[in-house]
Amino acid sequence: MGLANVVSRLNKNKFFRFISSVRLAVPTMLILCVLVGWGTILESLYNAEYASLRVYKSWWFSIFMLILWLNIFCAPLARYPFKKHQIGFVVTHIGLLILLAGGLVTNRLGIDGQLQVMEGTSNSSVMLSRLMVGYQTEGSPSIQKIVFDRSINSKDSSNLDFINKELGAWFKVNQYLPFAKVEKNYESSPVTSDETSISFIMKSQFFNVTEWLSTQDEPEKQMGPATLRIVKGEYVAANNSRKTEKKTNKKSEKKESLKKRTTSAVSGAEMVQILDAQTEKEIQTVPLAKLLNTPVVVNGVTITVSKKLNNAIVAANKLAEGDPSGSNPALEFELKKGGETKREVSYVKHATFSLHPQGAFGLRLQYLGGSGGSAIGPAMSEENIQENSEPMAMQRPGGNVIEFHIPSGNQNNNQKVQVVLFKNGEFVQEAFVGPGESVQTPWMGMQLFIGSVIHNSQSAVVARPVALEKKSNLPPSALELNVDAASPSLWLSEGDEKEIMVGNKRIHVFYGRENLTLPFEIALKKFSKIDYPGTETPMSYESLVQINGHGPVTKISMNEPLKVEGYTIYQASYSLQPNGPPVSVFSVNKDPGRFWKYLGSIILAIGVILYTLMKSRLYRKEKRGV
Amino acid sequence: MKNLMKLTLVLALEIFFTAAVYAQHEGMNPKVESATPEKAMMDLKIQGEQIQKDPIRSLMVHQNGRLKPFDTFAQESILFLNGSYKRTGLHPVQTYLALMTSSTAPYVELVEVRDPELRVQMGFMKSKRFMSLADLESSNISSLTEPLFKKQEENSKSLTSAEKTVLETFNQAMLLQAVIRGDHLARAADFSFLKGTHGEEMAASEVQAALREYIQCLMSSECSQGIKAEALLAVSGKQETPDMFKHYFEKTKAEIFYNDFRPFFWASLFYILLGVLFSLSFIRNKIGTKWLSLLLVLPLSLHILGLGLRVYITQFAPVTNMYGTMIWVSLGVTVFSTLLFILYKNAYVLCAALICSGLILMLTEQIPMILSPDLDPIVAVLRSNFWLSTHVTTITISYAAFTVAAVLGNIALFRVWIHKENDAFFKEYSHYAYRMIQLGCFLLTVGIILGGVWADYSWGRFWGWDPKETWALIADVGFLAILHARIAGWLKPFTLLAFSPVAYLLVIMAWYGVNFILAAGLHSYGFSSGGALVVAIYVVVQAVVLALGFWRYFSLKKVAA
Repeated sequence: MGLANVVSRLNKNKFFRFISSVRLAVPTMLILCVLVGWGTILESLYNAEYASLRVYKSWWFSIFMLILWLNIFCAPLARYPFKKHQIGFVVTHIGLLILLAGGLVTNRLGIDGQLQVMEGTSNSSVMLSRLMVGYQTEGSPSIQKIVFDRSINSKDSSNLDFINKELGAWFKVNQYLPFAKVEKNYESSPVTSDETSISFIMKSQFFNVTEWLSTQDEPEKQMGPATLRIVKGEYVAANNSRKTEKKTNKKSEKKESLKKRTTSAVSGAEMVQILDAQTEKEIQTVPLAKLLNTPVVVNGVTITVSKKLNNAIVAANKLAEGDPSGSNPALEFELKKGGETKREVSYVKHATFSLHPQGAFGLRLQYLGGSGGSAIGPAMSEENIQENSEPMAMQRPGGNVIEFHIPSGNQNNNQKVQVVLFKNGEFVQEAFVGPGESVQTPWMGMQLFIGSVIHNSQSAVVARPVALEKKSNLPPSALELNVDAASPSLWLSEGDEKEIMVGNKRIHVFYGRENLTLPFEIALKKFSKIDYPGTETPMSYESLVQINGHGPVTKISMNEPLKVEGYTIYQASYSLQPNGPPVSVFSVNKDPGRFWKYLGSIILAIGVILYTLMKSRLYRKEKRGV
Repeated sequence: MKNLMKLTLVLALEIFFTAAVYAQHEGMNPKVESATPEKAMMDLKIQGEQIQKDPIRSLMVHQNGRLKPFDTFAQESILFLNGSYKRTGLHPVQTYLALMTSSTAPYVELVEVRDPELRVQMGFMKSKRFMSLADLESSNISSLTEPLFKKQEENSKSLTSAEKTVLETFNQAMLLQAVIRGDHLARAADFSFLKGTHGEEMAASEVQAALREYIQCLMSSECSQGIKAEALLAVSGKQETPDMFKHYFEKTKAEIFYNDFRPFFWASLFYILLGVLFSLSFIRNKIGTKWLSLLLVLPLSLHILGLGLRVYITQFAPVTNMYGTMIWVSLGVTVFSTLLFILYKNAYVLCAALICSGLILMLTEQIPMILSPDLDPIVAVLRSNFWLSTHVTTITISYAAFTVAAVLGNIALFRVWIHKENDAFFKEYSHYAYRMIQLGCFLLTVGIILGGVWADYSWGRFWGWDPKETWALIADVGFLAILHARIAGWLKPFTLLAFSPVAYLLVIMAWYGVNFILAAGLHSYGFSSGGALVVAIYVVVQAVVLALGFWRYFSLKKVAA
């Protein structure tokens, strides 16, 4: 039975006649116009990613494209065997089918991601557009990845089975929020804890931020030119001495942990202790002498010492060497992970101080003085710690400080807070401010509102759904994990990594964009942006790169990509940092559908030309002539 | 427009930061006196009239990444400030130099504040359209602007159109201040700024000294402007110039000729004239249609000459912005309709298309504030002549074919009101429209595919549902739907004709709407604002014409039945 017979049978079928007809084609085309037009409007109102999640990558759009494809496929099929004058029509439609099929291949099997490389470094990790949960159990060399498509709808555990099935028994995913902010919050605890937390709002022409300070774990924050701090006890301006409550549970606790840490440094040499920020457990202790020479890598974070100071003082928000007579040993570190760099400072005498109270890349660093060290030994005595128990007291000279003093004795959550302002170390003003009230600061016309004051507070990490903002990037999604019903749940925002304990096994979990490690490494030798002379309008930008650290140095620029092992690397963007090397952003792409798309395009173009020519008067005249 | 705004913003900031350098001298014109606006305008005119533009206009200055004659520089500056080239009655060169030399210049009401609401916000009458530098300095414009800079830095997309107008007015104020003080020209004429030493101590260069002398000369009566200008040009020509700018020197004459001659204006006038004349049957019968094609050579060569000059000066295909594409489409309309005329010998169609082509050109020329006619260089991603001259020209020329189809459709919509018996007419015209839609679809499909290949080559993906490419596809599919509906027998000759202007609205969206209304996606180099009113009027008028045409057509049919 030939194809012609099959077709003639099919043509008796009403449904086939419909699916191969222009009666289906015209409405399909019009609906396509409306749908994708709506997508472009969404992109204009929100952003490209939202439009693509909402329209182009949705399941119903795929079904719609399938109908379109079937229609285009059946249209020529229904007219088999072809007559000579139909050749243009048939070729056009075959070209279109191949083109669309090529698009599908790209969609399903292609790779399209972003690779960022800082000048002078190399990278092979490409960020793709799908999401993944990754985890690594203690002692296991491999990382497990569960990859899924980003959704714009929130999901509870019943819709998350597809992830949980793959996850194994370690933990479960409970909830997915498409747009969320994961943040630390403080709430009243039923247990008396003697911790106080306050929230405040800073408002000016340029910004409006809400922040927390808590005696529990975040007593101080650096915001722009000012340091903000919560202090227990009232401030008395008259004799410029402070009536702070010296003995609190918290401080003695910290002293204990400090002592514990100090004792773990066995040798008399100066050491740097690397701790897990979450669990406060020691990961590694490195002799300072070694660290000064070679960087140490812990959990993928490269740690280098950028400054060592014997008497650190803070001047103009920078760490500097002060009067040699004093003693305040400090180290400044540089932590690098991926393309990101963080700065961290640690003082021997102020063990609890950190620029990153939540940990930098999940780590805390502690500078431990040597036991035989000149100033360190006696400094460790109870009294000396007492004297210096306010880690940033030394920061007041030269700095702008806002202190929130919580008068003692009052346990009312709506009590007034004493706000004390220092400018360049000088006392400026003080005021008692209640929740909802504000005070004007002497900088930048800033207004400071007190949000709430909570006694007996405890911290909790919560995820808050946030609204989509017009004309800006999508907020990150968040995932809630649970080890078991009894333990508190854990929220992860895109890009977060956390360590959890399951039984006595430590598991490293991360959530974020799917990562692909290329089979080669790209080193960025130099990035340059060339402007039109006399302007800051870029004329071109280009990167000089080297593959795998050897071989020729090649140029990648706009309209000039590089092909390596089946991948094509394009110059997509760049970012120039004020103090630091430039970062080049490449688009990395592998497209198995490319051949089909090009083939389809050529056939389509030939088809249209044939179609037009054979309908033209000249052609018809010739035929009539014959 | 947006480009101009952005670049003047950069300029304004540069001047702002180098203010310290200039603070030592108090501008080139030391004697500033206060005056009433009327007196100041009179002074400006008197001062301007005695300035000879010819000796100075070929002075080369640098701006926005290229060298240009002072003639162009003055013209663009005056346009940005005043919204028009010649509102003062003087040549832009004269207006510019008079601003530098008239002692009452800060009191000339020159800056056009385009938003009436903003005038009120600034503390002036709603009817006060033009403001002097003194007005602007006394107003609160800088405090209105300050928070916007921050906002723009954080997310430039979040600025509302009212906020953009505030920024624009601030930029106008900064520019006028710089022009009057002389900093604007001094900086542009001095090529040492091309080396990227922004904000550093400016060397007292020879060019600046010569410029100062020339300006002093303009202010005194017993001094020869010509000699001083010549001296300035000689010093300027000796400056060190980046290699990539050297070719502009030989193009000075061509550019001044282009500025003076206004080829597109004359071409548009002739197109319309020819179109109107030859659509009158008694004239056509008297002279014969042969003369029509012969006379058509004149505006067509002017049109091509203008485009040729643009290509010669910029070294790029002339389709890098809305202005360029409109001129290109207008040429396409002329060419395609001439082709129809050669094939089918229908003079009416050619006349209607010529009038349309002339109107497009005329519109393009009339709104320089919205469609920037400048010849400044293009953004990095467009710097590929091969793709510009294949992909962009193909896409835009397809719009020309659709334009002709839309013109034919509109003829049919009017025809129903004139004649009652139209079947033969519609059959003939729908065939023309059908051929034009076919041609347009072919060109647009090829253009979209070429765009896909370029995108694949440059961005790493063939298709990404970017708004510009999506709308090109929508326009293509819209017209393809017409072609398919015709096969299905759903469209009669009249309805095919009448649906062409409907689908043409999709072309307007793809062409204008994506850049000016949606302003989203990767094709951001074309984004701009303004002109919404013109387009809205077009859409409304078209909708009314369509509704009335359809109504008339169906009521005629009812009567016939």
